[in-house]
Amino acid sequence: MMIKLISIELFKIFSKPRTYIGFGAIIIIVLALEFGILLQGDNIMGIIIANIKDRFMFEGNIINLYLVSYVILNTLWVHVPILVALVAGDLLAGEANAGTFRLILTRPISRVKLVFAKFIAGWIYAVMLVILMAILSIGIGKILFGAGDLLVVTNKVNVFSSDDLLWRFAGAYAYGILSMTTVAALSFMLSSMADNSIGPIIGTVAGIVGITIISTVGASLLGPVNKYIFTSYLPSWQLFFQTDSGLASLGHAVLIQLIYIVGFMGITIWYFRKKDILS
Amino acid sequence: MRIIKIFLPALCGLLINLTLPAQDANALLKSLGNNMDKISSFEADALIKVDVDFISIKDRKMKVKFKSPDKFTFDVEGLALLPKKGLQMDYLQILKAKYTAIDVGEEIIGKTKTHIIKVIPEAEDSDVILAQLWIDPELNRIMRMKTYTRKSGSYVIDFEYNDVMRPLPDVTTVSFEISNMAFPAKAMNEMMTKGLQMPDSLPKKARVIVQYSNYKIVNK
Repeated sequence: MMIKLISIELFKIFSKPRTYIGFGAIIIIVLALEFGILLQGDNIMGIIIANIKDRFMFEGNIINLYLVSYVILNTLWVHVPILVALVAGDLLAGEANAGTFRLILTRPISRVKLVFAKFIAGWIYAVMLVILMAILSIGIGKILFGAGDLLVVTNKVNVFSSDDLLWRFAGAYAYGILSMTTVAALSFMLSSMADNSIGPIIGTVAGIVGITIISTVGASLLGPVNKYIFTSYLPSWQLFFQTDSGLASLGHAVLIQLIYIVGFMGITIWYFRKKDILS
Repeated sequence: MRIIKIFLPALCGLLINLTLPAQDANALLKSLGNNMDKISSFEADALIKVDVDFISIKDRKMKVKFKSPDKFTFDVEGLALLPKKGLQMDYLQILKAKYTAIDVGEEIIGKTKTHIIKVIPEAEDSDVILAQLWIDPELNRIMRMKTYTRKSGSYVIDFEYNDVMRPLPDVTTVSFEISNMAFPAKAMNEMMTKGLQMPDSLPKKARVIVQYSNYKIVNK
């Protein structure tokens, strides 16, 4: 029954043109970044590693598929939340707007089941976005740049051997899926409270961007609560590319994301069960 | 006339004393150069260990190839950070140009008694301002080199030899100072995690140890 419900919701999602905006955007962004790096990558890397380049010469292929995939992963928390919100924000509000809730809920399914079916369908869409991004980044990167070791410049310079990278990227993409699930849950929660999808989509994007700006620029304002805000952990996939204590902090990041997902879903179910669908 | 008879030998003695260290220094450097000039080409396996506080990289293997007079190629597995100075027999480059050499004394390195020679390149556009070479006069091998450059600061290279006859080192240790990452790169990370913080830009000690093995030397 649940699988059938999810299939129906997936059919609805993929019947709407807006769904394909996400896939189109991912393809354009990945292609633009890959070709941008192909043309300007050496200059950009030159600036980033300027002061170690004074003392060291780099032998080997610095700009390779792993570096490109790492750079593209950095955009995950910038544009993918918008694309996820575009679909997740419409899941419940779209039905309310079209006035189809009354029809749907005449079927013998509970509201909780409907909420879960819609959320899982939205989640599958978010997963597909991240997987498409991974396949494109690695696939085109392999063709344009080839393989090599990964140079990551954070507060340290870490060089990862290519044979130590597959699990790190798998972990980073898996974490990316988790953080996008949180974004989908937020958007879905707002969607349950609205009667058209514009509010939840803009609300999600404004919320994420706003909180990120405040917690970044005004770190002192939100200092004590920063570690409990889920937006602080959107870029935590980077912990997979740190050698010291990176993975130890990952547990906390995953826990925060899970708490928010459960919280947003709890509010959604609580609100939707009471929602007036007669109007 | 008597005064001339007395002072002339004294003056000659003084001049000889002043010029002798320079002649000794030049002779030592020439012997060192000649010793290396015998090599037409060589190749060796090398293991590179980078010991820098803020750089994390596993040891890398590479193949070093040299072809006379000064062509080096490095064939590395993966990505390696090699010191800009110290792997390409930099002292030979200095000795091939015009320079002034001064013998400034002796020092024992390990069990080897070395002569310390200061070399000042004469070319105005030379990157090296001053080089100090510790040379083993018995085997005409360089044991240590300290170099002051315009672009790359100063660095010390220590050479260790296991083979008595071979003029090429088994271990080369390059030591220098290096500052942590430039502001933009570090700031990007800090902004994402903890808010903007100034980076620690104090110079850190850096050491790169290169262990050579399986030398295949072709002499002229």
